[in-house]
Amino acid sequence: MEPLLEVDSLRTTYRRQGRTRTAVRDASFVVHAGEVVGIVGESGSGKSTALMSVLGLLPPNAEVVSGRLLFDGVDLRTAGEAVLRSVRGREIGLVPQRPMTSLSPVTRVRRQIRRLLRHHRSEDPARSDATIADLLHRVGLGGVTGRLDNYPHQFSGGQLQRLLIAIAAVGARPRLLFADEPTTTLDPTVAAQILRLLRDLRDELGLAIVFVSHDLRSVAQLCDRVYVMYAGDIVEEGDVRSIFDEPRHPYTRALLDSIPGRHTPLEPMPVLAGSVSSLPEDRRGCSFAPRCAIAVEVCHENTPELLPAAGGQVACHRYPAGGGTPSDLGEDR
Amino acid sequence: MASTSTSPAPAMVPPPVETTAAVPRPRLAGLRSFGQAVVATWSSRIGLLLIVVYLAVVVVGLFVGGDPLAQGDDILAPPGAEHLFGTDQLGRDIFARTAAGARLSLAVALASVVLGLAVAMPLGMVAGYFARTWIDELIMRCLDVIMALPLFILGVVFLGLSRGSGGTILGVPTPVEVQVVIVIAITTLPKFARVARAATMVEREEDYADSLRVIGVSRFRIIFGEISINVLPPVLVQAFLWMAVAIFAEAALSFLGLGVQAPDPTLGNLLHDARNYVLHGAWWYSVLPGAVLMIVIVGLNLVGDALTDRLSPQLRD
Amino acid sequence: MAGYVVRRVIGSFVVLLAVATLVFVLVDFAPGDPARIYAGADATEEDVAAIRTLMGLDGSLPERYLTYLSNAITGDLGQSIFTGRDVLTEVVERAPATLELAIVALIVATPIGIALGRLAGARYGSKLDTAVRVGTLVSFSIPGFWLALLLLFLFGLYLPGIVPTGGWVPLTEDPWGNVQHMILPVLVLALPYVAMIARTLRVSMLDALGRDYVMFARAMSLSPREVNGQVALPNAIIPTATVIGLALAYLIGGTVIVEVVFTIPGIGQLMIDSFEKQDFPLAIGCTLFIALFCVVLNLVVDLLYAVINPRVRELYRQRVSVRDL
Repeated sequence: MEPLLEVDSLRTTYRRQGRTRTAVRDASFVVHAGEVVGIVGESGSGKSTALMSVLGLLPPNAEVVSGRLLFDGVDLRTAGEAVLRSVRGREIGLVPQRPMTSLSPVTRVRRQIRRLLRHHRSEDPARSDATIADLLHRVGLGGVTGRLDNYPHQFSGGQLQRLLIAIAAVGARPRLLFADEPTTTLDPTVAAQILRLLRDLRDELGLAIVFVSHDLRSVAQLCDRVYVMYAGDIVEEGDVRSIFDEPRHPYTRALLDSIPGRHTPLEPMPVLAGSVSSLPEDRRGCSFAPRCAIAVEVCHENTPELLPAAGGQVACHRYPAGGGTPSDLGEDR
Repeated sequence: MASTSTSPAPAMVPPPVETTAAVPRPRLAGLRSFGQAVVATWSSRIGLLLIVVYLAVVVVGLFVGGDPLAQGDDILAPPGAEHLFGTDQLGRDIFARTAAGARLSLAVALASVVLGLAVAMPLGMVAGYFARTWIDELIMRCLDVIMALPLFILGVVFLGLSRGSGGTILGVPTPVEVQVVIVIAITTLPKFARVARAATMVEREEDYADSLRVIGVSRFRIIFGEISINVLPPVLVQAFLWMAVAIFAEAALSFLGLGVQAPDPTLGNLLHDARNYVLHGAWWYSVLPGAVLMIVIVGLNLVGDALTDRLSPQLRD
Repeated sequence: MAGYVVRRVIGSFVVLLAVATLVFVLVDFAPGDPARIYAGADATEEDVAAIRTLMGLDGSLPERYLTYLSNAITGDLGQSIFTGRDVLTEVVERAPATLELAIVALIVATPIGIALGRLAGARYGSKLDTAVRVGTLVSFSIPGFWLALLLLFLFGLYLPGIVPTGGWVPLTEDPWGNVQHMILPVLVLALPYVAMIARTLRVSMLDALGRDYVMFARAMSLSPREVNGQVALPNAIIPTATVIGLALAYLIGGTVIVEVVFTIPGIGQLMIDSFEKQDFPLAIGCTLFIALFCVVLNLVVDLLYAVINPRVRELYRQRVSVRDL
């Protein structure tokens, strides 16, 4: 089946104080209709940038350098602003990272809901109060229908996130929803409710969702398939079970090890040393090599390619564990 | 309609791979970067050039054009080889008067800004150090009232009254130049104090201020010793911006006949005199001194723009 | 809302009181005899004594202050030394020209400034933005009185007969003539005001366009026009409204200068004339009236703005000064 979204070798760079930095480095991923795909990685690994590249909503100092962004067979990178506008919201919705600041603080909520849904399909073109009330009921916000003439700051973070989901997912009815760390700024219990809401909406509306997060537990709860990103590279892909049960990339393993509760209480919790540091722009070899416990010489020399592995793909010279070179793996294919 | 694809960096997209380790701020590092900012863009370079032109007029006027007060027979002569900017109704050389006026205007503006700084900086720093206490509240409310006053009008009253009473303030004989300096200095207070307060509030939270407190350095020494050095850059930028305002204000007061009195020239009272000769066609009388005035204000604002651009990321945290 | 109005009105009274007190201090502490200052340099001893009694200047300092305040509140500002007429009458006679100048300049400048600032902010870094940035900087830097003189040259000497370069006719007598007489003075007054508004709005538009709510609006496929006008502008205009208010004092100061250059019979000209002639009662009456006008205009702008933008009231409740934003 043709994928709904096919991102092929996307490369996005930022200019900052005269220097260029690559935020997404030839990343490829696909999303099929009705599928929930997770993209995990630390902050700064390029997850959000990849999504914004697809929507054409990068800041002015960022640029998509190369790659194809096929949505429903149309390359959004070359399609132009008019096509992008017809895709944003209508075909691909966005649930933003910070609900508290994603509505304009100076306008009443009711007016903003109407405004934001202005260009989108709706059974009721008048966008009556009844329609809005119905939207809110669908996301479990039935209780606030009386407060729609309030301003955003009078709502809680969880309420606002539900509201944004009501607008982006239920009101505009896109086929694909980008959820960009939608729970990061929320309390854990509220975050869990939002996750449940997203899952229900997927079942109810047949939405495909790209769920970007650094929280592996949320990913495990929600996603069918997972991409792991590190410093702009996709290092591993697989269905959620195989990623969690048999992580193949050392970075994925390190990420899983850093989840508290996966260890017995007395065992010291492993910590991944270092951070996604300023890697040199013209680096050679695997981006993760400087932090990798099992890196060997070749890891510092050649950039590993994303190659098929059991149950998915992985970009690691040391896979299968402890042996193999790129050429070996290539022959395996 | 405007394209939003040129909107500035939204906070939504994480910055590119980069760590921002806390680096201790070297003293006065800010000032050096302001120097770079001034030569960084075309507009600020032009601004710098205009300021230099103004200063050149001031300096050249010391040697060319003769005595600004010397009267001659050549009355209302247009610009020529003998009189660069022409002459006025008393046959005085307008270039010499412009240069002398530019010098006096600059001196008055500089003095007002310095006086404003001397009063506002301690006030603002004390308010900032004791932010959200009654001390802060008291200082800032007073400055709020000053800011809400129609200061230009009050300046007019002040100067108008004191002229009627023979040029004294509270019984003390005061040259009118000093009075103008005081009037302008008062207008600078609210802004200067605000900037000093904001910068102090940032510095107060820095580690070095904590360490000084811990080792028992007195508050006075912390505020006026260590913190004041780091508060200086934004305050000085503000002071620079207000040079333009001060020069403008001095000229406006003189233009109304309330500033420095004839026969001493300033750029403002030159234009005050020139007003009566507009319809005689003596264009040089008002156009040339006014152009010099505009040159310096545009120049100061152009450079000031570059400085505030450099400053704004600092103020944002 | 009611609370906000009450507080703003009280604030305005505080400012007015401060102005009145300052003027009192300046007059009372002026050297020599305030009665003599009021009476003028040529007055006889008997005149001075009479004025002293009349003005309640015989009493102690608090008594004098209270007399002065109660006189000012009841509109008893004394008589002009030159014409002998009530100061209040003279001032009220001259008020229409000044009020019209300031209000027309405000009404002309605000929309133009907002339009320019919005355009430049939305197209940050473009040629248009640069043009607005440079253009406003220059118009902001032109001394108004110099520009007025240049216009006098241009329309008084070289292109006579196109627009009047001096005087004023009341709107009620000759509406068309009134409009013609307003053209040059309003141009001079409005220019720096337009620049100030445009420059402030440009920066705050830029800031607003980088916010999350703009990103979400764009992600919901709102057009650039909708994003700029309906989402970014209402947020960006908050700091700008403050500038509009703060710059009012600037505008009023400008009317004094413009009245002098274009010989408009307004309060500003009257005030400067009175100081020149040492007609202090009249000069002080003008001052108090201008201060009152300034404060009232500021209050109106603030209240209008609070009606348009409710978050201002919210900020006020939280004791956040809008000026700190």
